[in-house]
Amino acid sequence: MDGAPKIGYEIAMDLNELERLLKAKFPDASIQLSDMTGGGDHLELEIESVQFKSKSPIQQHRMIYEALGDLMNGSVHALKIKSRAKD
Amino acid sequence: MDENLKKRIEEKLNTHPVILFMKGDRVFPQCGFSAKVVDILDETGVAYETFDILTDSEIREGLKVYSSWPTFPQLYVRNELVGGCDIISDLYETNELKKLFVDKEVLSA
Repeated sequence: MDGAPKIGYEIAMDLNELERLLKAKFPDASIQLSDMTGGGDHLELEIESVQFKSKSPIQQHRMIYEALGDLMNGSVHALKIKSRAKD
Repeated sequence: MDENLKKRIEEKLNTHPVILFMKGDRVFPQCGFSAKVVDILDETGVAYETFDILTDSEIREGLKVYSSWPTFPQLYVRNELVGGCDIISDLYETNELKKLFVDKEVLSA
């Protein structure tokens, strides 16, 4: 892990920012984001979107990483992703 | 991306049919997600190489761009990114990982 442990409001800001970026790219999606450790750097994302239709898991994850951009290179150490296509 | 760096990456992918870019090595993984993929690969019986990205920041940053994939571990089979910990775990749990190895002729059936 890099840097000092994060404090409450910083974690909340990251989670909000993550959700905002995902909603911007996948407006139809149902998104569930949880903080697995309470430290704000191990997150779990469940996301369901029509945009994942006929996309392989690797393509789906790439689309998600693309949406998150620099956030993945900074404060988020680990993001567990469960993605599904929505009918 | 820098041509020399691209060459360095592709040389590794070309040399090793199955290669895991991870934090640490298979004996001392430095991250739970890397450790999990090592366990899964051992379980399948496939022969694989590991590369410790913590020892080489150029390769580490280069791979993120090369594969449009910002996290580690990354598993490659015959030059192709199979996925990170989540995808590998899913493939393993649904018995598709071994099948993929056999299909790509890196494991005998």
